[in-house]
Amino acid sequence: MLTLLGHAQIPLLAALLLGGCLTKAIKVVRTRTVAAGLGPTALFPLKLRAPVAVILCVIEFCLGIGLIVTSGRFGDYDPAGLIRLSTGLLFLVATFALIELRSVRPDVGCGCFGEFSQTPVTGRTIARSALLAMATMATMKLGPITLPRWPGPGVGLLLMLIAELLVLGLLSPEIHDVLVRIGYTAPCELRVVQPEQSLAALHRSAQWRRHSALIARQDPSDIWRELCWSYIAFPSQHAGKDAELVFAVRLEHRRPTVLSALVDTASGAVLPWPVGTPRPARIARRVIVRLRPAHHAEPVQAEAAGQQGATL
Amino acid sequence: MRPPKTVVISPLASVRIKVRLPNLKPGYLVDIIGVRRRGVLQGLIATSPQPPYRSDHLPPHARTGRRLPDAITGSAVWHDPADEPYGVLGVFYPAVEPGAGCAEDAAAKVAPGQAQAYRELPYLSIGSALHVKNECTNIGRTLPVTGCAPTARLFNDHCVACKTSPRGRIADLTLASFVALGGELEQGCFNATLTIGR
Repeated sequence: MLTLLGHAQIPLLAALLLGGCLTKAIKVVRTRTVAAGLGPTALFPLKLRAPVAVILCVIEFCLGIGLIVTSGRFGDYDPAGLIRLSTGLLFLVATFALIELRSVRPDVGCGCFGEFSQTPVTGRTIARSALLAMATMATMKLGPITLPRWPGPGVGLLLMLIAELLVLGLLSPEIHDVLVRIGYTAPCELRVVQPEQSLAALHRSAQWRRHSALIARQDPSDIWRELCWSYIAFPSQHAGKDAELVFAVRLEHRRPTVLSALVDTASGAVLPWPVGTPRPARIARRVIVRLRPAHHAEPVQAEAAGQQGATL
Repeated sequence: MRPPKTVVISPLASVRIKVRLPNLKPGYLVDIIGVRRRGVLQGLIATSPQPPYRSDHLPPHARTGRRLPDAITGSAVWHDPADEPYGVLGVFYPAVEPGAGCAEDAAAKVAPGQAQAYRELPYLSIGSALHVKNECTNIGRTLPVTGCAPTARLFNDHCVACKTSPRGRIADLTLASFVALGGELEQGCFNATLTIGR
């Protein structure tokens, strides 16, 4: 049974190493900085952090691939032993690095899984690294891995694997962070939305189809954002004077609300829609001038009755 | 964009400053008040205790829930007015929308929306109106957002002007705005409440 458990360590360790490398690479791509938030690299001088982070990621990748490649008959004994010894040493060094990191920089996360590992290093993180070092060392004299027979030894192995994953899960602060992320939706005020996305949403809207004929030039004269609304202004004309057709697009993922208004460029006053311009059905009713505080995440609305209305 | 500046700290001032800013090393945050003499900035006093973390290792902050509060409380500070017109009223805001392309972020090679920040603040644009109220003097004014505050968003300190503010800097005021709101320049900050809107 212990041999079977040993067999389970190889794919588990390989998955952890490749997962660690992948999440670090994703963080680097997202933040565009190599050394940002990569845990133990904080122990090195500034100049060395980026190369150390890259070397660590490459080592993890090579060892992860090496563990998989040498798990069968290809890596009988010498190559497999070398790879497993190296992996064990990596986790051992990581354990001591985490102990040092906790005393020198108690505010820094271990960086083991990129941006998921931002919680400061605790005893649990250190214990996990030590456990993985022991698990790797236990596989040193293991022969080629074969699939266990099902259901007999296979079920036992599966149960032990689940138990080990549970222990690793309990020792991993990342699990908590991932669960928080899954259940978290950023309020619209905090969402990062590119202007191109707002423009695309505007071009799909009924407001755009109704009023785009009033636009003098297809390029927006201004795009800005306030809380949950993106505002897009286009140059226009009204009664021979310069005007701006302003659209407000709510920052929602699906079917965003789009409002529009024609305003005088010089004074900023809301102008009536030109005669013959189709009116949106939702404001073709008796309406009031209503001012909402912007912190309620709603745009200021200035609506008037019938054909004189403008909404923004 | 505000370009990097060199601050000269005399040996006498450094004794005082190092009490509050023990890590005068690259990467650590400092907030120093000084005077400008013949174009040279001379640091004299530190306004607040130094955050213990490096600026690229911000401590995690509890995520905001699904709805942001209507009023945001925290610390409001002021900045060196060297490159601004005299007496200009305005506020540099820590969460200017990523699409605005803050020059400071571009200089630091930070992708839009990826800049680190201790406080989660709603995104606004240059020109947005912010009502800033000094909780110590009870004076409030509506000010336009006139710039980005990339450094203010990295601090997680309290302001202890009259009472202890929640952690994090929420506004970086121009000198004139700070004074107009009754702030004491040598204190460096006041407890502020921001309300977004006209």
